[in-house]
Order: sequence, then C-alpha cells, then structure tokens
Amino acid sequence: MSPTRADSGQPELLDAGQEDRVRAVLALGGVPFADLPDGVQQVRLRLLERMADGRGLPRNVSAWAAAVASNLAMDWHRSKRRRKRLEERLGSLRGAEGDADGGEDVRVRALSVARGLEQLSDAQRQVVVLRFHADLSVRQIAQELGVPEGTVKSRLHTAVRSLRTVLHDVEAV
Amino acid sequence: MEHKGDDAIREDPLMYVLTGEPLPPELERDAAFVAEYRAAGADTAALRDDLARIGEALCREPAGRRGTKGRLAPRRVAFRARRRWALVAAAVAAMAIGAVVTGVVRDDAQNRGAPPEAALTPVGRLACAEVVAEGLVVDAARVDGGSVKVTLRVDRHYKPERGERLLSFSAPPQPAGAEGAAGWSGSRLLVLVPQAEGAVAEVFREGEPAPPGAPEGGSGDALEWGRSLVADSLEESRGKPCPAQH
Repeated sequence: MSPTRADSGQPELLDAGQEDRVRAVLALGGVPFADLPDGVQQVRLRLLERMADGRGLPRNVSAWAAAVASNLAMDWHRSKRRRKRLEERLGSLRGAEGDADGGEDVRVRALSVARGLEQLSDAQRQVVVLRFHADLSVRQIAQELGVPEGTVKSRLHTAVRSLRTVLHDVEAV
Repeated sequence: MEHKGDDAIREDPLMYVLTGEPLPPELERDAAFVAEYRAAGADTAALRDDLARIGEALCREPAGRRGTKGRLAPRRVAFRARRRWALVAAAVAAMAIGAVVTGVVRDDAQNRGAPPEAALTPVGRLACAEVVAEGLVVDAARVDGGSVKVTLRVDRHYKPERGERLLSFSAPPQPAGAEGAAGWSGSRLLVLVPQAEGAVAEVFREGEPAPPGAPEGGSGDALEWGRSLVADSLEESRGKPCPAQH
C-alpha cells in the first residue's frame, strides 16, 4: 500500500528526503523562500502528469526530481529580477541561526560561495547544484537534462574552477 | 567558449574529482598531479559543504516571517497549481495508482546528510571515517530533523580492528512511514562513522540499492557495495589524512 499525504489524501509521490532535496535545489537555483512550496508542488505535478501520460515512473525518481526542480528554478529565474534574488539569498545567510558547527569563517566562506554562484551562468549553476547538492553523477545529469556528458563536464569544470578561486580568495584574506 | 570538449580538460586533476573516475596508474605515480588532485578533492568537499549550508539557510523561514513553530511556512498552493492538480489527479484516478506509486517511495537518504567526505575518492572516504564496522541493527529511531539514531551490534570491526560491541551513530534522515527507521531493526549494515563530531554516518544497508556512483556490474546491493569499498580501499586509506580536513 502506498503512503498518502495526511492532509490531502493524495499519494505521497516524493518522500520526505526527496522533498527536502527538491526544496534545496529550488532554493539554490534562486527560487525565493515564499515560492518553495509551490515549486515542490510543481515537481509533484510533473510526476503525476508523467504517470498520467503513460510514461511511467522515472527510473531514478530522486535524480529526475532534482533535475526537474533545477529546470523550474531556471524558468523562475528568467521571469524574476536577479538582484532581488541575490539580496534574499545573502539576507538568509546573514540571518542563519543554529550554525553551531559553523563559526564566522565558515559563514563568510558560504557567503562568498553564494556570491560565486551568482556569477555563474544559469546552466553552470544548475550542474553545480545537481552534482554537489543533489549528488547526481555526471552521467545522470546528462541523461536528466538531455545534454551530452561532455557538455556537463565542461560546464562543471568551468563553474568549479571559478568557485575554487572564490574559496582560495577567502582563505587568503 | 563554454564547451571545450573532453580532450582539453581530460588530464586536469579537477576533472577526475568532478567525474569520480579513478586516477590511472601512471598519474597516481605523478606526485604533483596527485597533490593537485587532493587539493581539488578538498575544495569540492568544501563546496559541497557550503552548498548544503546555503541550501539549508535558504529553505529556512527568513527571520521576521518565522511563526511560532515549524521551519516552513504553511504550504500555499497557487490557484493555477490547485487547478492543475485537480485535472491531473482526475486523470490519474483512472489508473491503478496505488500499485504504481508503491515503487516511487524509495529511500535515497544514503545520499542526504552525507558528510562532505562523500565527494572524495573511496580511499578518502575511508580515511575520513573514524569507525568502519558491520553488524546487526538492534535499535533505530527517528529523531528531530528526520535523522536516525542507530544502535548496532557489531560483529566485524574494520577500522579500528577492535572496538565496542555496541556502536551508536546518527544515520541520514529517513522518510516517515512504514519503510522508515522502524524497519531497520534486525537488518545488517556497514557503517562509516565520520571523524567530524556530529556529522552523519554513511550507511550501507543490506537489501537497499547501492548508492549512485557505485560501479556497474555489481549486485546492486548497498551492503555488498560497501563491503567492496572496504575491501578495495581500506588498506590504502590507513595512515592517510582525511583530505576534507586538509
């Protein structure tokens, strides 16, 4: 028997861990906090639509959901002003609580990485988030996004090289 | 130009880290290359850590909007989304959805909450582990945040080679429900408990699918893959520092 969502009676298409990951991928892609529930809902809807179309379940639901979330974030980004997103991201980090394991150095580094993410192209940011937050392999990213593996590698390489520069600059300060 | 192709960057140490491909023997003998490779591994581990931190911060309700409890605001479903939901739900209702959906809810928590070391090579992951052991779960319970407090009756100590009979650690968050932590009791697993205090352990539980990145051709079982990881890389990892801490 499949689990159901207690508040709606709808089948629970994504488990709690998958939902958390989708939410984070959306957030890292620039979707503001207030829109995250809608974003998660959109991913669920895409999964239902896929099943209703007779295409069946993705072979790897987690990877599929992360990729869909990253694409949704890119679409959202195209329709919103970039500046507002940056301010929200940095504001959230400044206001972060409960960083017991963090400390100022770690927080400063995370802020710098957040700024570094903003300097990446949407496509670069997407592969970085899918690789290092959603834990998809290069092959999985290529499959889910429908692009050649070489393209994913190239985007990743360029993006991470840029972010490494940010990390080293922070350490040098 | 963004796409340079494989050839131009194939021999870059960073590319091996990004793809998770093992270093060829001839490059393993190149000390300068290996040093660059390790530095890239440490940087990507830090990047993974930062992304987790940023993602967590961005998913937290901003200060000033926070309610009396709960980390997320009440779910708000836009009218258009609700309408789409209704239409799609109607279409899906015609299907034997219960049977279909059963396969959807799978536990991918092995990847969530994993320490930054997970970005490293197998040797690096083992070097970053304080304890590597295998045994039967005698108790498992979800705690705040969704992670699982596990007590393991150890019957094989890999690292160190001797240790306590009972081992307790925090496993990655598990989904609520029948397939959650309650189902762990009595199951066999192998665990990599990280050195970092408070970090979540990496778990390979029998009967679960091997995590993404596992080499193809194996049984596909997480425990079997964990054992092969230990068999292949534990000796090499002994005495090596944890790259994520250097």
